[in-house]
Amino acid sequence: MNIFRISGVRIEGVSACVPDNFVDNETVLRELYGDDAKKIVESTGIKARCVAKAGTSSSDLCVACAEDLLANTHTKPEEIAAVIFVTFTPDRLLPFNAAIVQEKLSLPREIPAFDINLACSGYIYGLYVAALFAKSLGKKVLLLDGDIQTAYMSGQDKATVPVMADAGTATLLSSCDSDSDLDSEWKFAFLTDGSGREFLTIPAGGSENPFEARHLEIHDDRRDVDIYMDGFAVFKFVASDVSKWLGKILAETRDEIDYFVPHQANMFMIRKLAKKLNIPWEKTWKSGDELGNSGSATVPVTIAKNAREFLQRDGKILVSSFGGGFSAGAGIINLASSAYYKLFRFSKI
Amino acid sequence: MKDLGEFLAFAAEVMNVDPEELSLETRYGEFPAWDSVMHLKLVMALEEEFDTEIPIEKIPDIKTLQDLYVYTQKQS
Repeated sequence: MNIFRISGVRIEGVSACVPDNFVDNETVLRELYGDDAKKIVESTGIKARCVAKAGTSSSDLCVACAEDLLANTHTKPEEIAAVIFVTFTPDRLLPFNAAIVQEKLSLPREIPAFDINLACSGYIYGLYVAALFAKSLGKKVLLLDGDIQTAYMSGQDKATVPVMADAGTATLLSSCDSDSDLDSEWKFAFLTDGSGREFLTIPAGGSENPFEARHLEIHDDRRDVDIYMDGFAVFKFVASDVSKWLGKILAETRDEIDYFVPHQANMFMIRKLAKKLNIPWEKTWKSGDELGNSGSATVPVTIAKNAREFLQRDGKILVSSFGGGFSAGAGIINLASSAYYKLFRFSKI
Repeated sequence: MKDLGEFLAFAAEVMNVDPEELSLETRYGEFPAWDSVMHLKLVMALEEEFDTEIPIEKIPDIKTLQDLYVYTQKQS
């Protein structure tokens, strides 16, 4: 197993926001499932989802988080030495979101600014890359992660409607002088299986299948420009591959871990995963039951929602996410009790 | 409650279908009411009803009601 290690970095804060439009899942699912709606909500454990209003972009949500985070960590825009934006639902196909936020946040022009295009596993990649930049530059790095998944979701699709939601987040990383302190070492691992690429995909609109008017026609309850998800195949990837892979990581690091922050795919899946990993449910942080599955943003959203309550002292956290690709990422990171954490509702637009 | 008839009645209630429509050969993905979300519900309901635990890595192996029925027998 390849473990990627880095030390001398820390998280100064995590700010997250969800659209101020909470959809009651049972009410919505009644249109799809009739009287079975309640059973579906019970099975996924997702009672509500936050859905952005039409026209709200992923950069809108993340810029709001970044403004909140910079203000409350007393960070000036000119202190940011790199900005990284994790999303698979950028404002536009061109340009990339990091350019948009560079201007919106008045960040310096001579900094690395780029997107990472990944789905649910994206935040772990973002954290590792941001940590590398923070360490290399010896300065602060802004990591944004957000998606408007519902812009690519058919309202008739029984696989995606019960779970998918929207969110934006911002994480501020900085370098610190603790290279010799082993407790500060972060560890990362990554897993990719491209043979699963057809099981969670948007079939049309890319260079392989450029957009045409026919892609707006609905067949099998969705358009070709909507997200297609084979929920069973994704579950199988997590159940068979990710659970064993995480088990190997934990075999060497279990004693270090204070809390587990998994991707909030659905509550059933993460409860089963925690059980398999022998991680107590009360040490597993959650947000999906109240906010839905917002893709890769679920990990920072869950951190922002739970950190202040759980972290009476600094904690060692196992973060892990998994999904489209197939792809998975895991990290063992430090979260300081003194860092800034906030979850708020986005009501603009 | 490990009798086959009672098990099929239980599965029918979870899937909101007539028990007559089900047999141990009823298969995930082929029976219209048994989609991926219902799969989770079936497992969850069975665990609750029969006080048993199906490990996460075994859940994808459940393809038919026979595969699910096995867990009610193990519990007994």
